[in-house]
Amino acid sequence: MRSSGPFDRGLAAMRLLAVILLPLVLAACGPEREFSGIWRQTACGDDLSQPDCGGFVYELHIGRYGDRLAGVVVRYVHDRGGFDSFQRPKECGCFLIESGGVADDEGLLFTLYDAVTPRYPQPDTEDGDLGCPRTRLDECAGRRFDIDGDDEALVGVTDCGEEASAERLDIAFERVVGTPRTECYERRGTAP
Amino acid sequence: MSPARLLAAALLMLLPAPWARAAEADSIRLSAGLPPTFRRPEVVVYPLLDQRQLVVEAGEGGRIEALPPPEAWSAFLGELRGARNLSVQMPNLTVRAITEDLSYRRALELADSTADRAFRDYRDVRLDAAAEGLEAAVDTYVKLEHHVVAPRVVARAALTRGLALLESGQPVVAERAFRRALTLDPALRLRPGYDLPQAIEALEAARAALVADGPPAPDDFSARVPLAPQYAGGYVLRARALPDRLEVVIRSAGGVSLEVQPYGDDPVDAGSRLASRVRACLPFGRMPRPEGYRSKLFLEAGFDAYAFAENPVGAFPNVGVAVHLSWIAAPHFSLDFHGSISNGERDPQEHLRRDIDSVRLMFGPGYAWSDPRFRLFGQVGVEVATMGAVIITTNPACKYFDPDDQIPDVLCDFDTDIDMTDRVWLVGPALSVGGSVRLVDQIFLAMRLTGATYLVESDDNGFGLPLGGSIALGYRLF
Repeated sequence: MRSSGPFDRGLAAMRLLAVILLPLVLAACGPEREFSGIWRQTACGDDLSQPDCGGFVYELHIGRYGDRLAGVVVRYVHDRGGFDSFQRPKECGCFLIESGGVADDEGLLFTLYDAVTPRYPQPDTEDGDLGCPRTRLDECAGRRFDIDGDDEALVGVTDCGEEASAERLDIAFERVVGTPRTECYERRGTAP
Repeated sequence: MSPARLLAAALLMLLPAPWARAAEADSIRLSAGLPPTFRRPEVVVYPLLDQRQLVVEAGEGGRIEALPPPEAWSAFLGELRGARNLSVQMPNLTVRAITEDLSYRRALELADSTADRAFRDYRDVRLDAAAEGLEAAVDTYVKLEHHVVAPRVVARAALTRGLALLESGQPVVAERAFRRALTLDPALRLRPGYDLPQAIEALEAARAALVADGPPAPDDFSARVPLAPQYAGGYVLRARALPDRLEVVIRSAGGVSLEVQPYGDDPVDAGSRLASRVRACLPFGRMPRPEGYRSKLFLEAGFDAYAFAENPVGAFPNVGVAVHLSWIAAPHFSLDFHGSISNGERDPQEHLRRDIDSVRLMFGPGYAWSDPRFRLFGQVGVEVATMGAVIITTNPACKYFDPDDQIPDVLCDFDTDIDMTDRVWLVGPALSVGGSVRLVDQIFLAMRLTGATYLVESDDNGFGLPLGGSIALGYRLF
């Protein structure tokens, strides 16, 4: 058996230092940002082949901060003609995510803030100004999204929370590239 | 006695007092024995110039009986030889050292050829050329110290020059040449019946004048002739015996001193006394000064990473560059400086809303152990640090939205839900341990763990106790 010389002992000491040092740095992990970004609805209800969710489609703008999240949910009128529904002219209500939304490595769970009062690009905008359908403009008060997935797709349900009459719909989203919106109102001076 | 005076007296008794240690006598040092590394003064003793022979009348054929060395001289040499604190080169070795010198041999050939040519000139009655050549030859002989090796040869050349000058009608200059010849070799005589009577008379007159005036010491007994370069750091003893006394000249780069000792009734005692006085004039020698520790300076440059163990948001890494200077001023003792500039990442919850820049400077003493390849070290010092402005919020809506986004206060009140702290300055003790391994030449790889705690803060931003380490490449500057 080869006896250990000073060089080997030195290397062993270095390894020991590395073993002590490495966990310190690794323990100080960076932030968790999975699921942050823009997610567009791809399916709703029993028929997962089409995204129509009561005449609307939803777009999630999510910012994840560890186990908490914040963001904006934008609702668009679904274009049954097959054209892209996620156009600003088709926007029909914007909602802030309520405090208390949670996130983990599996998915997201959040509720819309003041869902019965959608926000529009300008505070004094009337529903009709946007060409929104005249019915069901408001969401149920406890509109909730419980969705799981990975970095490409999210699948889950949306319901009205504790309301007894709440309908429960399956819903799916896919990630799109872009910069998430942080406002519902258009900033003063910007084009609609 | 007042308490203050009592305390002062007590302190004085406790203080080390260098004057309290008596100088150790040379005799005690000698009897205790000198270590092998003791540096002895080098003393070079030249052969005795026996000027007693000046007064000895020549016998038949101009020869004089050689006188034995004075007993005092033998006793003197014996005493010096026994001095254990001196490195004495005896006269025979001095002669050998002169003759073994290569430049002496080369120059001697030139001087001999000059003398031979001058002797031929004298025989051929070219008296001026002979006088000139012999003067040059004698000067060269003296310069080579050949008169110490073969005084008769040099004195004969000087004598012949005197004869040439005398025969060319220059009796005054000739007389000086005779004096020089007799100074070089006091036993020099001309042979009646062979040499010219006028020459014998002139030489004898010169000898009588020397005896009457008291024979002068040769030039190389005085500071007029510079010491040979090889003896510049030592001491040269030139001695001459006179009819009634022994004189020793001690020459060194520092000057010349003369010791005179009459023979008295007990020449052996006289020699011993003279040796004692000469030894008293010489330095005792010295112990070699212990070689001072050769300090070392190491410079490292590399990467630094740490996390704040105390923080309001959860651990997050701070990564940057670092430089470390370590001066090993004494065995196992170092003075260290560590500096780093780093930038903080975000915490997992991103409560921190902007990166935190930090500058940390640590300096202090340390311990270092090293062998040719490895070093282990540890330092304790003071850390001065500064951290940039800190913005913290735990509200995710405040993280996602801007104040311009017009969100209700119930989701985020930007005025109350965000904490801000300006740049802070921090001071506290710091600790560092680590090791290094030499890679090649003076380049080494170093790793160290560092930690600090802040006791003084310009403001409390909630962060403290940085723990981490660095990895760096280093170079030994000296």
